[in-house]
Amino acid sequence: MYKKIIKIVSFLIVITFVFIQITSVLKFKDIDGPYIVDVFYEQEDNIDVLVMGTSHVYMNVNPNVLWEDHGITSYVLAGAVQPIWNTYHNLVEALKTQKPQVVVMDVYLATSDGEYTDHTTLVKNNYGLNFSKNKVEGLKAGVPPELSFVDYLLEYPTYHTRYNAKVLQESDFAGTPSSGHMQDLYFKGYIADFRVDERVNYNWDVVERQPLPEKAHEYLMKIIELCDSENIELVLIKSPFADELEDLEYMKYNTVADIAKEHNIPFINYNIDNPANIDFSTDYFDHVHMNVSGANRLTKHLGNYLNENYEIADRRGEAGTESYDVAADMFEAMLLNDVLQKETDLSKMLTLIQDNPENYELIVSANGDYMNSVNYNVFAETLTQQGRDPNKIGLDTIYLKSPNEETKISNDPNGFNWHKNITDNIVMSISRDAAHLSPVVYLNTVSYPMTDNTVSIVVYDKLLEVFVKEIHTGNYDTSTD
Amino acid sequence: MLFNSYHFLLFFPIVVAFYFVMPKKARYIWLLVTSYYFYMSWNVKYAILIAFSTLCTYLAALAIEKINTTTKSTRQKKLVIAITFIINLGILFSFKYLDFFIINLNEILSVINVTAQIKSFDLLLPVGISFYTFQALSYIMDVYRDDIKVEKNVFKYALFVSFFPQLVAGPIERSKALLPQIQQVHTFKLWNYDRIAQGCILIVWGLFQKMVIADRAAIFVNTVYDSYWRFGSVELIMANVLFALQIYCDFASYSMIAVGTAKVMGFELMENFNTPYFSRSIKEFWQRWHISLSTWFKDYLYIPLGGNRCSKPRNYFNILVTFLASGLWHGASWGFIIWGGLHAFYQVLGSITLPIRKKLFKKAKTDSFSFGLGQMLLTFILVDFAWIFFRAPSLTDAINYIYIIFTKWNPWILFNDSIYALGLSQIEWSVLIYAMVVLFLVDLLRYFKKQTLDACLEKECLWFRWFVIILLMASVFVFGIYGTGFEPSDFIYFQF
Repeated sequence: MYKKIIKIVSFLIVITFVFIQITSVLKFKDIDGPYIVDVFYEQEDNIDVLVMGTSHVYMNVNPNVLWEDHGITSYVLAGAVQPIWNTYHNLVEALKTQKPQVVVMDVYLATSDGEYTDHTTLVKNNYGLNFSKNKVEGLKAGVPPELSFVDYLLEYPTYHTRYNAKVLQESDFAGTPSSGHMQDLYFKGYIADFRVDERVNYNWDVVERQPLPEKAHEYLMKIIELCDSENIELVLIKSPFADELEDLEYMKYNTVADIAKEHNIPFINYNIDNPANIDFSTDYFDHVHMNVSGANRLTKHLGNYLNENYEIADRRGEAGTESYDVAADMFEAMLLNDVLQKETDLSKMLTLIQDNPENYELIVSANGDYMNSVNYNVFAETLTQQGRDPNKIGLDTIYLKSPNEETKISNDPNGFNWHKNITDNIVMSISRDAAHLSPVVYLNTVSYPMTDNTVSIVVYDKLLEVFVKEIHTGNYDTSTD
Repeated sequence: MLFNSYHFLLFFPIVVAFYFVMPKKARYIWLLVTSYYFYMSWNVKYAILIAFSTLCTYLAALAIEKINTTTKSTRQKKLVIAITFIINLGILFSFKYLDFFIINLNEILSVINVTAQIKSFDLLLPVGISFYTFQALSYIMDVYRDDIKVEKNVFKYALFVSFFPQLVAGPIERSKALLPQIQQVHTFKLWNYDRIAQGCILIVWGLFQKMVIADRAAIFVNTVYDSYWRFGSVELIMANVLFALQIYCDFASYSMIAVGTAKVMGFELMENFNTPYFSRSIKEFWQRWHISLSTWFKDYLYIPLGGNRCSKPRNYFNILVTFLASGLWHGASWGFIIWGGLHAFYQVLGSITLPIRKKLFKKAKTDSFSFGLGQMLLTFILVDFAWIFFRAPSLTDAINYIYIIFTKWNPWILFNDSIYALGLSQIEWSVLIYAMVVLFLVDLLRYFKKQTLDACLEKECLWFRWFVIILLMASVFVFGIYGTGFEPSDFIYFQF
């Protein structure tokens, strides 16, 4: 009898283990959805400012700026096109583990008249939450009658076919988010974008009011009441649009302003009088989402506002805030990469790399008639200024670990078996096949064929584990190979 | 409630849990209540029909017993049987065949220039009506033949007609096999680890056949059949071969889950499929395909007609009548009738050509593997050809389908990727092929070892048994066709 019970229990343990493994591979890991909540659960319970809403906050508010400027610990707990009922249920969930002093909430979807949500929105705004009554209620509010509620409650039935959608990546098997980048591991809910789209500011000259849709209004009130009962300061914001809205939309936001006033809640409408000094020609990458420059500007204003109006502790140096320091370092590294990527001056590029030895790994390869390439002289001069010998490059390929340490790799075809682990996950290697005169650099399996008749430098950011750039002494614009 | 639905996933464990712990005497009542709940989950009104059929056959059996103890008049008994058959088949006819009858009558009337058209009723066909009607009729016939004692307890008898595992898609159990089990249900020793484990293995294997193979093959089959005129021979042949696979897995899986669920509860149901596509003749095919139905027709139609103990022409007639009835049982359309007729034709032709074939293959190595394989392939081709009439939406479509197979030869589509655009991606094809290999191995084991998967696994080491079960469960979990985007498709045989 006991033997059989042990058998049954063991079988159940094994099958549960197998199912958990399968689930963890197949589940949705979108960074703009479940992942934000997944990472939120891992935070120390020291978040003072919780930023909530849609992409209008996870792209427009940068917790790294709040940390670096004011030492404010914050997290953007938001989701793509997040319905306001999900914001409410996220807040309920957040309060189970955190005791924020201030909740900053973007009111974008407080004006939406949607009664339910679609598949993608359901996934991105419900799936991260741990199973609880709160989660069930959030789902109940969002799943339309024509979709299967049970499917979304169990989640698995909606994603088990991901094996077939050609979307599975290494990160799915590693359990990291969909982007797979190192900076995500110190994610604070902010998703950076460096693209620029030139926009203009539109005047907010509508003064009429339009009532909020019933369901949105109900949940806005619930949020206000919850913050009130938990003694949390609520700050409503409207992250700025760089687009013209329907008059009706302006009217609804005006109503939000009225509701805020009625309940004595601050409401910062960033579209009126441009308090954050947003430069609409440089700060956006589409009509509502800001790039890093815009997000930093908006966050600086928000940080100053919070600092002036609330007594939020400067937690820099405190135990338990190390992840904020790492996140800030990673963010700085991203900024640096962006500068390096946009830089076109060879000398400046080499200087940037020289000045940040901790960040980069390089492979330098001189091929063919490289000395006659357009910018070879600049290259040689910069190297000389840096105290290095450009002649060392020769026709051999050189691997540079850091500016002061270099390994020469023979150009002998037989010598091209060279490879090296530059991080735990990345192997940098070089090989040359018969069809190519110049060698090919590999980062794991991704190949970077070196350009003929130039000096080529493959720059890899080992901190963020991303390829940054390939630099040539020839024409940068011509495609490689 | 489908076997592959959340509803059943919740229903079955609850039924089993209470069934195992409740007082023994109440078991059959519990199973009756849950069986009616199971049936009514489709449509509450269905319960009235099944209850009526149950009561009708129950009373008829009592009447026969009464006659047996009093007048012993065969005429009276036959009258009772006739009335019972007329009532039950009448209900079946009204729901299943009336519209078909009216439409054809109108066609005939219009041919002879009669303008009065009869309106059709468009009644919704209750699921499983053909199954439980036949099961109830088999009971009354067995009572009439004195093969079984009359069941006096109306609830036990009602459970025999409505027992949920096999209620809507078989196996059509014989009263001789199932009724005694229901009568003895209070004596069942329920806590038997091996039996429960075997039942669970059968359920998992059934789900694998249904959700991984049948429903996946259906995607391709439906894409091609729904607009077959767009395609050439190769797609049409592939779709038809996959339909053979689909209908087998679909139907066999239902029976398998039925047998498995019943087994968990201590009941033994009959085997309904026994590797039918390994048959070496059409006759053998019908000994292996939907066994509970073919033996029903054999016992209650073919043999009463005279079977083969009569002249050759009469025997051929008996075969034809039996198979046309079988075709009609499957559905009210000319496609099903032709399908049944084709199977009769195959058998008659087989019988007529037997002497010639014997002569022809006198010197052939008929006991060799290759000869057997040839027979299997030929049988499969004949069976698969007949499936066209079964699957095509209409007779005209079936004929057009066959016409295209023979006229639009396009083998090149096997060498480009166009096949992946017909509902199944390359990955899905790989999964289907993997599942087919598993099915082939299991059926091969069944064919040679003459044992079902559960019995085969019982003899293996623990690690291998677990490996197979976990592999099957994980395959259903990942590769099963279910969840948002997929409606769990009805088992094909439900409305037959």
